[in-house]
Amino acid sequence: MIKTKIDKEFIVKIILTTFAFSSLLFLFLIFSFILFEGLPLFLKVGLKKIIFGFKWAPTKGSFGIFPMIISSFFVTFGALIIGAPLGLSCAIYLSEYSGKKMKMFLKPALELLAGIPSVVYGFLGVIYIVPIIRNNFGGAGFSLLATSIILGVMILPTIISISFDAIMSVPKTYREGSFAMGATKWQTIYKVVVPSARSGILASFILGMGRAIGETMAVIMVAGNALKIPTSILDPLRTLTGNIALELAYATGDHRMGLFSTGVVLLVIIMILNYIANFGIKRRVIK
Amino acid sequence: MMNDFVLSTENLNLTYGTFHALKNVDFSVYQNSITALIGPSGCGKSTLLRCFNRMNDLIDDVKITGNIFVNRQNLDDIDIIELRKKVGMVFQRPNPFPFSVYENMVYGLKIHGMDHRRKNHDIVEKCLRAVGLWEDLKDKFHASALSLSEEIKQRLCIARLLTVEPEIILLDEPCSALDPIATMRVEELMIELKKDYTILIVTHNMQQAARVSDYTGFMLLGELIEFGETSQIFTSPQDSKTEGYITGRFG
Ligand SMILES: Nc1ncnc2c1ncn2[C@@H]1O[C@H](COP(=O)(O)OP(=O)(O)O)[C@@H](O)[C@H]1O
Ligand SMILES: [Mg+2]
Repeated sequence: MIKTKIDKEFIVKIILTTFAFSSLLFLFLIFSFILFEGLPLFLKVGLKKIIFGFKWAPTKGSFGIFPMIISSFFVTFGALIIGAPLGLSCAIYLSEYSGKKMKMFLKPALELLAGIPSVVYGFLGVIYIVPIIRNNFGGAGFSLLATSIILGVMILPTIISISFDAIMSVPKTYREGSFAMGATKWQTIYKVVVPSARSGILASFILGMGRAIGETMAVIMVAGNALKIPTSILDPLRTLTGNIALELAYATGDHRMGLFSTGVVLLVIIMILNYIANFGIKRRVIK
Repeated sequence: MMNDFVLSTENLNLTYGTFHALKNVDFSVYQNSITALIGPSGCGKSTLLRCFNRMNDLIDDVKITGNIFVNRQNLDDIDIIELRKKVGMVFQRPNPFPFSVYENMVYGLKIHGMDHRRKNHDIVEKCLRAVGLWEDLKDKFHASALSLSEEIKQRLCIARLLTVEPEIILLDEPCSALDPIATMRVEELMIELKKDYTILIVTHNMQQAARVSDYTGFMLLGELIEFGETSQIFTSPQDSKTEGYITGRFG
């Protein structure tokens, strides 16, 4: 009797462990699959020619993705320039100024913002942002600027929710100490609260960057997808993700491998960003 | 001189929502003295202390009636920033900011626009000396204040206040996070500081009140039961409740 009970417990444990590890297994599979498909081209053409090559003509043997790497970084920083101040202000407002009712209204609204499919953002970008840029600043409108704006809005939920948590976890005693010395509310916020939460806030920016650099659908729709390094914020560009999504449907042979190489580069960048963000968060927790 | 009071209240009443936390309190603190507030936990000591630098303003639903005077000036007529500069506060748990020692020390100077690169260092030195920390910290300006021991943190918090030249220091159970030896040293510091500052300390430790204070107020359930010279309160209390408390019958 007792023995069968233990066996049941044991089986449940085995099943749960298997499920838990299966997600790790998927991660491993995806990773090895992309590496397996992408690495041969690195060996064949050479790392330097791919990463620092300017020309992407995969059917003619040129696999340079340098302009796309640069473009991906440009849109990511563009998104950050727009999303970071907006998101941080919003997090500060939510944590320090809004009342309970406002919080109850704003938090779900933010979650909704995070849940909007990216194609909808792209669609709004094409309909509103692109024409506004075209009519006011010239160019085609499909541009670094349009992409940065769309991505800047898309990363807001990430930045706001993580910064908000970081700011809320600043002990009340710091705020009291500051007020008791005669600091105003705003002095307390920008000289004590925000600096105390800085590692969490930085982590939110970096995770936002990770989200921006990985975004695909909305980017394809508003970026213009031209194969060159943009020289102005009104120039069109093509990101690493855009490259894969646009060409994978018809690519074969080396071309296909080239897209996987693009994927490898993207994966490495995202891993680095996540690593930095985790490092920031861990330091905060340990402290 | 002993009759110069720098803090006082007249018929002070305070409610947290419907809870009546201070009842008709008439209380005074004399210049360059140490006044202790004692009484069982929850009797309103911290609440009374926090009236003098308006820290109760941070709490919703607080209603205060009666008068509070700082330097014979009605509290309502004093700008809150000036008030908090003049009336510094030390908390129960040491709360240095999670910055370097130096950043902590110049924080007050910065927020009050008294920050002058050349003078800062002298002020920091003077204030660290005043709390007996100069030798310990002069080579640790860039160390994180959070890495210090609890006693040194608490002293740093006191030094941090001194930079903006307060006249009155409120201490809310400043030794409750400290071991007995550190407690003794902080008590010595308070006696030292009495020369230049007026001190009001809340403590639930009667021995501490007896050791450091010149005047003692005994509170119970929101009322100031008895107030007088410490020696008198501890040797010949007028009220039977005071006597009961200091002889350990309740508390
Ligand atoms: N923010 C608050 N809201 C409601 N009640 C409070 C608040 N702060 C203190 N009180 C109540 O007021 C009474 C006095 O508190 P306090 O002044 O902190 O006591 P003491 O410092 O003597 O231990 C206690 O009964 C406490 O529960
Ligand atoms: Mg208290």
